[in-house]
Amino acid sequence: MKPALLVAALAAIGIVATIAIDTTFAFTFTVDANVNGAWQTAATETSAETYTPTTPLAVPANGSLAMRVHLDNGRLLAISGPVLATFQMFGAGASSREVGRLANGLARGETHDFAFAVNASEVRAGCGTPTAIAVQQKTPAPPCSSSGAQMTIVTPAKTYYVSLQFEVSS
Amino acid sequence: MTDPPVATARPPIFNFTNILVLLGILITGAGVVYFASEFISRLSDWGKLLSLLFISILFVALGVHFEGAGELHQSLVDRRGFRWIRIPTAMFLIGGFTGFVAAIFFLGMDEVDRRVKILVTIALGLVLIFVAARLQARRAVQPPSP
Repeated sequence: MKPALLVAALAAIGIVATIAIDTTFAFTFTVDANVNGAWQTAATETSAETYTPTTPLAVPANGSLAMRVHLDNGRLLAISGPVLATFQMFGAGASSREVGRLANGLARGETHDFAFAVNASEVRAGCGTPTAIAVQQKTPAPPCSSSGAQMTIVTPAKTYYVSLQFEVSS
Repeated sequence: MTDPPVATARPPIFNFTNILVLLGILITGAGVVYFASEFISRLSDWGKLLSLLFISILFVALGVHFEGAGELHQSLVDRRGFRWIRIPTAMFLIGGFTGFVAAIFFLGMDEVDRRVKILVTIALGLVLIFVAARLQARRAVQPPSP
């Protein structure tokens, strides 16, 4: 086989291998939120890049808020370290803390809970806009700097930012 | 007495071969555009970059192969101003365009340090120019083929 044709064949194999490996390990997930003991779907994937909010979040003062990540497809591997989930508050009690750590990754169909409590000192109510949750891969600007939060899920391939905006009901 | 000059009939622009080549280029181009615009979002950033680079290498290598493949090296349209339209040229154009898209994508990757991106792209550009200059110099030294 001529060298140029050999290079072309190798490149073709490379394309197929890259796509096959990448799509095998690509994953989609659903984010559920638990407010006052009731689970609700907070965001679902519409494409690899964009997660759209489905349900507004209304968190009671001193209430609890938990998030659950359900792996719908693919595999969430911990190759270069554990999959981390950090939760960062913006606003009055701005803070950042790790809320979850998946040392062994997540297999298809598995669920992992990232639970954290929200209290009034951390959340300041009201920007006058609807509460929403959105998951995306690009670093988002907090929907409202005074009452937002962000959960970051770091995986070996991608980083997902779960942006939340919620208000505290009295 | 000399024979009158024979008018050689030039082949029509839209002959069967040219239409096949045009169709092939359009279908391949559509596939590359679909890959770059729709499917590629399913891949990770490094997967996207690798795929684009492989596509670029694939087309350039096919262009090099066709260039040395006798009849495939000929102009498709024997008209003034259109003689550059050859199968290898089409391959080089698609490969070059995909490589350029890969470079732009690489510059837009968040997870790569900006200094690294600058160094890599400038170095890569210089290497390409250097390789082209070497090839041109080698071609100039070679005696023209009979």
